[in-house]
Parts: sequence; C-alpha cells; structure tokens
Amino acid sequence: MMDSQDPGAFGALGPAERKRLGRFGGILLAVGSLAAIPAGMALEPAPAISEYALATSGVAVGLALYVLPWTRISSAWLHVALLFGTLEVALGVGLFSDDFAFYLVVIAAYAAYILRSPAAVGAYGALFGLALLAPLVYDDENLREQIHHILVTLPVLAIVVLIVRYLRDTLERREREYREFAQEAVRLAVRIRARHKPGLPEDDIDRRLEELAQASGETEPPHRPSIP
Amino acid sequence: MDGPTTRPTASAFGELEPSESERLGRLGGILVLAGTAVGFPASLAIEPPPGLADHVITLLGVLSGLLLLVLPWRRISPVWFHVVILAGVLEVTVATAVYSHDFSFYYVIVAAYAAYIVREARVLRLYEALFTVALLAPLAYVGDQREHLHHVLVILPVLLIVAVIVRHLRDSVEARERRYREFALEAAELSARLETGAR
Repeated sequence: MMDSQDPGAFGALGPAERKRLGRFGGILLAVGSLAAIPAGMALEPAPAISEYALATSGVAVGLALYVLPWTRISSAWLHVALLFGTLEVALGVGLFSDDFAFYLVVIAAYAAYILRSPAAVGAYGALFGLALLAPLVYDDENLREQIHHILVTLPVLAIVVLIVRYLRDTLERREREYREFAQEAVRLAVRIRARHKPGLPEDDIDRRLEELAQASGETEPPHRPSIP
Repeated sequence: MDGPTTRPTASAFGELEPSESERLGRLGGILVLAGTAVGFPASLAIEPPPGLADHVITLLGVLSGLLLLVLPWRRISPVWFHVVILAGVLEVTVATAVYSHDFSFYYVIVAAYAAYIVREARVLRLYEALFTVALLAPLAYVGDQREHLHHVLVILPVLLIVAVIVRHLRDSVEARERRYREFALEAAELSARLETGAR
C-alpha cells in the first residue's frame, strides 16, 4: 500500500505531505458536517433527530480520516474524503434543502488543492456537475427555482476552483524557482569548496553545506569528488 | 491617493511590488467581471423575471470590473484594494436585495479574494465580520426569516472554510519559498567565505 513514488491522481506524495492532505480532508469533512447541523435545525419543519444521522456519519468519517495512518497507506485513500463528501452533499440536497449544494464548493476547493492529474480533475469536475444537476431529475415542481440555484452555485464553484488552482500553481512555480536558485547556490559553494579544500580545514562549512543541500532538495552529494 | 511608483509599499496588503499590485488589482477586476457575467443568466431564471431596470446592477458590475482592469495599479496606493473588496460586497448586497437571496453566495468569491490579498490578520478579521453582517442583513427585511437564517447558516461556513483554504495555501507555500530563499542566501554567503578564505 506504500506509494510515495506513485504519481497517481495526487502526484508523487511523500508520507508527510500525504498525512497533511489526508488530515486536512478529514478536518474539512468533520467541520462541514458539524456546520450542517445548525443549518438543518433552522429548516421549517426542523428534521427529526434520526435525520441528523447523515451529518453525524460525516463527522465520524471525517474523524476516521484524521486518525488514519496516512504515512503508511496509499494516496488512493484521499478519494474517500472527496467521494464521501460529494455523496453526503447530494443526499443532503435530496433529503433536506437545495442550499446544501453550496457545500460542493468546499469539496471542489479541496479537490483543486490536492489533485494533480488533469484526468482526475476532469472526472471530479464531471461528478460535481452531476451532483449539482441531480435535483433537475427528481424535483419537477420547482424546476425553475432549481435552475436558478444551479446557475448561482456552478459559477461560484468554478471561480473558487480556478482561484485555488491559480494560487497553488503560481506559488508552486515561485517555490520551484527559489529551490533551483538555492540548489544552484549550494552547487556553486560545493564547487568552490572542492577546489580549495586542501587549504580550508573548516569542517563546519562542509557539514553546513551538506545540510543545506539536503534541505533544498539537492540530490547530488555535495562532496562528490567528480564535481569540477 | 497616489503612492510611490517604484518602491514596494507596505499596508494591510503587505509590501507590494508595483507589478504585484497590478496583478492583484487586475485579478479583482476579472473576478468582478466574471461574477457579474455569470450572475446574469441566474437572474433570468428567477420567477417572475426581473424588470429591465433591475439589470442596471449587471451594467454597474461590468463597468466597475472594467474600471478595475484599467486602473493604473502600478502608480496608485494599495488602499484601492479596499475599494475592490467593498465594491464586491456592495454589488452582492444589492443583487441579493433585488434578485434573490441565493446571490449572497457570491460573498464566497469576495471572501476568497480578500483572504488572498489581505496580509494583516486584523484587517482580514474585520472583513470577515463585514461579510457576516452583509449575509445577515436580509434578516432585517425578508418575510421568511427562518428560511433566510438556514441560508446564512449554510453559506457562512462555506465562506469561512474557503477563506481558510486560500489563506492556508498562500501561507504554507510562501513559508516554503522563504525557507528556500534563506538556504540560497546562506549558500551564497558560504561561497563568498570560501572564496575569501582561499585567497
């Protein structure tokens, strides 16, 4: 089940990053489900206690996702947060109120944040679209109201996804540029060190260079003699 | 209102290079235009459809979006970013009052933009309070208060969660960017020390 090198829907995630994203998904699911409870209580007529089972199951799944051993399991488990969240929203819309479709925006923002493969982004986009359009199939009485609701929700969803995606891509590009700059600086320092080593018995510099190279993601060992 | 043209300026929006001011200002203009454009078909689906005069809101949205796109962001003060956010809030408030309470969902876009551009936590909290007040405002004039309360209780968490995601994303990647910059500077400094020591 280990897949730190598997570039699937979520790209090649290291164990720490997988844990961060998995826990983030769990928190979002639990918080979103909790927040739905007061919104449900404001409905007229208010749902029966048993009908809060949906929100309660969302909280339980969210907490379970939080405590999963993310460093040891596959990234594929991240799909659980996305799929369960979408199912929960679709049921909430069908059983209680079409306003709950707004929650799809949170799931879509999370998906835009964690998904790397364009095919997976497309597949989830289609799923969110279907979940939004589903009330048109079973709610004939309020067709126009449903269309209005969808025409408000869909663009907000698309705009939020674009903002998250744009933000992530722009900032990651800048991070890459700085990392390359840092690696270049480390390589330069290593080259100078290799050239002048006999005259410079400063072990602390060697050690610090090694640390810097590792921290900046430089894969070449800094003291390799083959470096000119 | 005019500020310095070449040096970064510090404000609630942090220290902004002129090019960054332009990018953020134009992003605001694009969002206002996009929000207005996508709101138009939604307004046509309302029963009964709004009168022609009601579409003045759409026209004002398009004009304000275009204005924000052409503003000389490199030369004007970052204070104008407040105008972008407040214009967004005002437009959504009017659309909610005139068309339907579903339009208050557009506050989510304004909140995401604010979370992205506002650096000072205190200012961002003030904006979040403003969004909350704006969301609650229709309770003062709508007939079915309970339905609107349900509406607010759904939108508010979505708004706050989206703002947190945007903020978290920006902060975490910027922190990594800062770390790499420090690595690079330290490595460059070590290189300089080594060069000096070898001579």
